[in-house]
Parts: sequence; C-alpha cells; structure tokens
Amino acid sequence: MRRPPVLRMRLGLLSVFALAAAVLFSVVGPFFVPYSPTEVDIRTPPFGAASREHPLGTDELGRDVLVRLMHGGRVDLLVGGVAMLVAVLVGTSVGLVGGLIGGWSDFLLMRTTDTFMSIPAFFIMLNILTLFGPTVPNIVLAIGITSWMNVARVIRAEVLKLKGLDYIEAARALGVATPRLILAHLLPNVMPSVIVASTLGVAWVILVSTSLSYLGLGVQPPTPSWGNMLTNSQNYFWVDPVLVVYPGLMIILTVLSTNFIGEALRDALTPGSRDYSLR
Amino acid sequence: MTRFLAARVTGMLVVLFLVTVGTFVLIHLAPGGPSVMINPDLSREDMLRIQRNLGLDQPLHVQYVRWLNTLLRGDLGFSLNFGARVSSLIWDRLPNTVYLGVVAFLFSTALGISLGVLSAVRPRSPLDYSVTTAAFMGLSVPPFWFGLLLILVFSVFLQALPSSGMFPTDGTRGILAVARHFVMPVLVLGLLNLAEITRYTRSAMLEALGSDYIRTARAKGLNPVRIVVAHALKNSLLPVLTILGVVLPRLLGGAVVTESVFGWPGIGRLAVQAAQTRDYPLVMGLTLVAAVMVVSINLVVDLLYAVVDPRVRREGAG
Repeated sequence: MRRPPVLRMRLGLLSVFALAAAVLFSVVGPFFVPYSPTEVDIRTPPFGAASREHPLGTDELGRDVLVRLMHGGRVDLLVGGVAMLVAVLVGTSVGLVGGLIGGWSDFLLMRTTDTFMSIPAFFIMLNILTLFGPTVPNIVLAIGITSWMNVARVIRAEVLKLKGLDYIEAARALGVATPRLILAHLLPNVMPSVIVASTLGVAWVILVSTSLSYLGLGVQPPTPSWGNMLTNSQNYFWVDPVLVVYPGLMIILTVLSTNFIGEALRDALTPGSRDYSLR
Repeated sequence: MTRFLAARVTGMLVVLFLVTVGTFVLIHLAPGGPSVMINPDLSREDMLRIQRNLGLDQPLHVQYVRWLNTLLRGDLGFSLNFGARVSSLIWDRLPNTVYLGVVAFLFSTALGISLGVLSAVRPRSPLDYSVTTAAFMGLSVPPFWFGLLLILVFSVFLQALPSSGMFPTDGTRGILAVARHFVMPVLVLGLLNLAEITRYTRSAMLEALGSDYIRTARAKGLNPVRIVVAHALKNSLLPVLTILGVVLPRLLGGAVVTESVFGWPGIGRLAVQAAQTRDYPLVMGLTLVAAVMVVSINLVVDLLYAVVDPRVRREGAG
C-alpha cells in the first residue's frame, strides 16, 4: 500500500548528492576563495551586487557572502554532526544498559529519560547557554543532551525485543561475556535503528541551532553560521533582500536532503518499521 | 485502573523531583554560581555578605531542601530583574501562552488529521504528493524564518494582519480584532506539528486501510465514506493519540521562538528575557512550571490511552 520505495530511494540518492555538495562546498570551498569570512576590508563596498570578484555579492560590512556561506556551513554541519554524535552516544548507552540490565537501573534511566522529555528542550538550552555562555562546545552539548531521549527509547525497545530471541540466549548459553554480547551480538542488530534515528536527528539539530541563533544564543558573530547570517540579514532586508535568501536556501537544502536520506534509510534498513517519524 | 493510575502518578512525582534536582544543580554548576548573577562587579566583601544573607554559603543539600520547602508552599521567589514575584510574573503571562497553544493545537490536529486521511485514501495521487511534499517542507523550514516571511507578506506587503502583540493597540477588544492577532503565530507554532501529525495520520491510515477488516467491510458493500471514517480512522486514531504526548510539550518549546518573533506576551518570551538577563529565580520558576505542565499533559494522554485501549491498562499496572 505504501509508496513504492523506488521513488523514495531515488529521492534519497538525489539527497545524498545534494548533501555531499553542501559538505564539499563548506569544507573545500574556502580554499578557492581568497577572502576572509570575518575580517572587514574597507576597500570593498557594503551590499555589493554579484560581480566577478564576489559571485554572491558582499554583506553589510563589505565581506564576501560566498566565503561566509562556506564557513557558516562548516560551523553548522559541525554543530549538527557532533551534537547528534553526543545524542546518539548517550542515547545508545542509556537504551542498551536499561534494556539489557533491567530492574532498578532501567527504572532510573527511564525516569531520567522522562525527566528530560518533560522539560521543553528550548527551556533546557536557554538555561545552559545563558548560564555557561553560547560558545560552540556549549551549543553542541546543550543540543546533544536535549536530543538523546528518542534514541534511548528506540534502542531500549529494540534491545528488549532482541533479548528474547534465540540467538542471544544461545550466545549466553555458550558463555559469551556481557560486554562481548553487547558489542558483537546486540549492537550490530540495533545499528539500523540508530542510523535512521540519528540521520533524522541531524536535520532537527540544524533547525534547532538556527533557532538558537535567532534568540541570540547560537554561534556568536563575527564567526558566521547560516543561522546568524539569516538572523542578521533581517536588519538589512530593505537594503539587500538577497542576503536573506542565501543562508535560508542553504538551511532548507541541507535539512530537506537530510530528512529525505533518513526516510530512504528507514525504508532500506528497517523495512518492518512504521513510517512514523517521532523526534 | 486504580493501580494503573497510582503507577503513573508515582512516575510523575519521581520525574518532577528529578526536574527540581536538575534545575537546582544546573544553576549551581554555572561558573560563579548564582551569586555572580546578582551583579558581577561586586567587591569581594559585599559578595560574601550577600551570600551569607541569602544563605548561599551553606552546603548544597541544605540549600536544596530549603528551596524545595518554599517551593512546595508555592513560593517561587523574586525576580532579580523585574522586581516582582516570579509566580505573579508567570501567572500573568501563562494564560496567553495557553490560548496560543490551544488554538495552534486544535488547528494543527484538525487540519493534520484531515490532510493525512485525504492523502491516505488516494495514495500516489497529486493531492498525496503535494501533501507529503508540503509536510517535508514544513519539517525543514526554520520556524522563525517562516514567521518573518509571513510578517513580510501579510503585514508589510498586504498590510492585512498585525505583526506583533496579542491585542490591538487602540484598545478595541472585539473577537475579530483579537483573532487577527492569532493568525500568524498560530500558523508558525502549528506548522511543525501539522507536518508531523499529517505524516503520522497518513501512515496509520494506510496501514489500517490495508488490513483485512477493511477488505471485509468493502466486500460487504458498505458505504466507502463510512468505511474510511468509522472503521479505518477509528483504529488509526490510537497511534495518533500517542504522538499528542510528543506534540503538546513541543508547543511550549515552540512558544519560545514564536512568541519572540511576534512579540506575544507569554511565558516563552519571558523565558528568553529571563535567560538574557540571567534572572535565575525566574529561569528556574519557568522551567519548573513548564515541566509541571508537560508532565500533567502526559498523564492525561496516558489516561486517555488507557481508556481507549484496555491492553495498556493491564500492562501499566503489571
């Protein structure tokens, strides 16, 4: 009854190329542009139109928009990737331990998960970033520790399901030690769910970090990020509306393609699972 | 049912206790602790005197117990910045956030379920494709950007809708005048949930429509509309109910951004103001109030679930 996966796979493949292009653009791009993303050169006029020297024009301080977009991508992709890595590590450990050991530790871990789920993520992030300051490591940490709960729940459910299966029992009967049981037998079977959850998570994290920028708690200027470029360009909307377009497009392109990749991976890796995206 | 209720309420209390511990520890972990937030330029003697007066020199667990005591009496302390009781600050703005949240919730649920059903009934139709694409876009657009876009179109170009605040500035309080202020904030706050509920309903409906009892109903020649609404939708609403527990708390988080974009006088904007001025009693109070709201919502959703699905009752009690 579902849409043929073929189309989704094609969309997924297309998205892989789009995302790879965005990554290349950000990581390799700056090597080909001879401008600084932060330093102001008083010889270049502000709000310059697109030209041979500045393909996307210049911003309100006469800085090259293209190179700022590239460096912004580095920051955003880094924040998105590392924050999700933190979330996946925490979530997987909590889920594995809770599901495998059960009993009191499971109860406590799950109540902790509930606790994190019951404070709206933005309130936790506001707390952390105002108390400890909006530096990149703090932003990564703040987003990471407010995004692991779903992974933990998915993994725990998966472990509870796998735990009852014969091959795990057989491994136990053969005297396989618990760490090996986790690493060699459980983890590989949980991996697909982890991969799907974390891919969709990256999209979410990038959106959250742009929202943080809007509240003034994201990556701080002059370091460019797509979020703060977007927020900043609002002030100059009437002077140079194009400045709003570029970072907005980059965010949508990245988030949209990450979402599509996640969906395609879900179809490919966890065929039985329902098409319910919960974050 | 009583056992189920008892188990859920106990779990809720444990969670709330952990929230108080977490908030408390976080404030005290911050560089300099809470005292630095009063005024970072104080001399060392003044700082020590203030710390002594406020009891900040005592061991952490003593401070925590004392704080919890006043908290249980409903006292959230004084805001450092507004010079008013935290409880009255929150109490003044909470209804505004709730109104906005309720309207956004009703809007996104009603529209989301309808769109989900329509696209599931005709899978792979142009309607289905447009709905799915729109849902993906909704999940991929930064909410504040969407809000600013709306302001640009409806307030600046068309001059049709007010761009900020909850009431007209000329003092009129007509329903229509206030409703105009709701339109854009509701759209922005509802967008993410709308996308998610639509996708969720669509999948649940597709699964239900593919099942045997629907084929039986079709074979009996029942009215197709009745099959979709009375048979398939009824069974799809159960999983949809689950995500309400996820969707409702997010309305509170989303309120932070939405209220900032539209200058809405609610607790989301208050939280941003509190955070920017490092007003820690207010930050703590807001976090606790938000947690209490979310936990209560979850309890209600759990109870609803148990009422609708008897299997959950036994599982939860056992």
